[in-house]
Amino acid sequence: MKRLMLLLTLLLACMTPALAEEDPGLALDRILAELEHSAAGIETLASDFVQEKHLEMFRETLVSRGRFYFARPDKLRWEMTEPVASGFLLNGDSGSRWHERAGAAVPFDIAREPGMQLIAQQLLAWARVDIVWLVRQYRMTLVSEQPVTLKLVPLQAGAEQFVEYLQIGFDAERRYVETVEVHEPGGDSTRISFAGTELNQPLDPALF
Amino acid sequence: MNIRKGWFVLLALLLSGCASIPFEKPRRTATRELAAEALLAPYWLGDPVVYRIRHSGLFRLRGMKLPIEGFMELDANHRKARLVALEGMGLKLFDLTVTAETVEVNHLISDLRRHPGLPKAVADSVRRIFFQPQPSPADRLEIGSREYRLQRGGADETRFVFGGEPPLLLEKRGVGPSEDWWVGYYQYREQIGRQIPEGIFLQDRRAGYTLTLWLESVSCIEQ
Repeated sequence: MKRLMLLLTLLLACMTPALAEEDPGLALDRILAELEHSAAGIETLASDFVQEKHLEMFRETLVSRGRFYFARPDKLRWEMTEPVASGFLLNGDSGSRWHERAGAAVPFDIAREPGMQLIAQQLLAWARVDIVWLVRQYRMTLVSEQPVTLKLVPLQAGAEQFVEYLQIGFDAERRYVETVEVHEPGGDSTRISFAGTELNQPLDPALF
Repeated sequence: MNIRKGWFVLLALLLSGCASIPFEKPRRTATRELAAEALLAPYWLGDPVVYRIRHSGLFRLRGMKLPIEGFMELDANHRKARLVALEGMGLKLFDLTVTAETVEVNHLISDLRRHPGLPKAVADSVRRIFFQPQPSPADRLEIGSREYRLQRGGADETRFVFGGEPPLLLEKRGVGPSEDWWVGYYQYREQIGRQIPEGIFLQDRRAGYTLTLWLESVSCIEQ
């Protein structure tokens, strides 16, 4: 009996580290599947945000504030309110953008605006937590599980000129993005923090 | 009928010209006897400091309308500025170092490379607005009933107009065979112990662009 107990103890001692140290690739896959599952039930999002642009050469951070709206599958509104009102909205393949300093809103067709297409694709992918699309765009590593934080390095050739890596943080229940950090070559970075996020609340159709 | 029509067109042109400057017109009060040195004493760009300016603006160049937001470090005394322009989501549009003679392009987004005149136009604007030409006590002073003018001749004529009480720089103008531009300074208010304009408008008639600039916040580093 003593021998059996000793054997069991030894077996448990050997097994415990194996259970605790999950393969990083498997852990990432598990987390991505959880994120996709949790976000699947989200039809609308509305959130305030603070954008902090850090300019390394000036050691200065420029703070802007705004509000973000999303309605599945492809409606977005990105609205800066301070210090200058500006933004864009997207409804399918078309949209409009505005800037307080430039006057009235200007419509655009996303197929003809590669810059807008890039921004819209990114925002839609993060709002929908579209893991299939994101895995094609980035090499991902898991920075932390609580809260879930991912580091993403762009795979697309030429992207490294603009983005060194992104760091994305999710809310505690893993349903939506709470922070986005864009780290640029040269040390500049942008951090967007979302707060007061409302899930699945009816949104005024006029927003889009 | 033709004269009436002509007046109507002139009025429409004047009104449209005024409407493109979105700032309050400065109040010009009665002038008094003043030396050029006294006129320049409250001039914010004459101080030996480095200004750090958060700005927003609208640049119009041959049909292109480019709203910008950004940050600038300005050493008017050493005639040097570094400025970064950003679009709304924080994407860097351009990053330039401008001196009295040169412009160094540290960064220019590919979409803007199809406007090759842009860095030069921005650099010329920064120089003219902030550090070149600068009014000097050596300029010829003329005192009108509601404005003070500092002028210097040469191939091109440069004029600085001051007004209000205390008199502040309201206008800079450069006209001649090689240039035709003017800058208006609007809505002065006290910031960091100095009278600093909130709004600036520049027009370069020869190059065909305008820049409307809002100085959102200004701080400084004493030298």
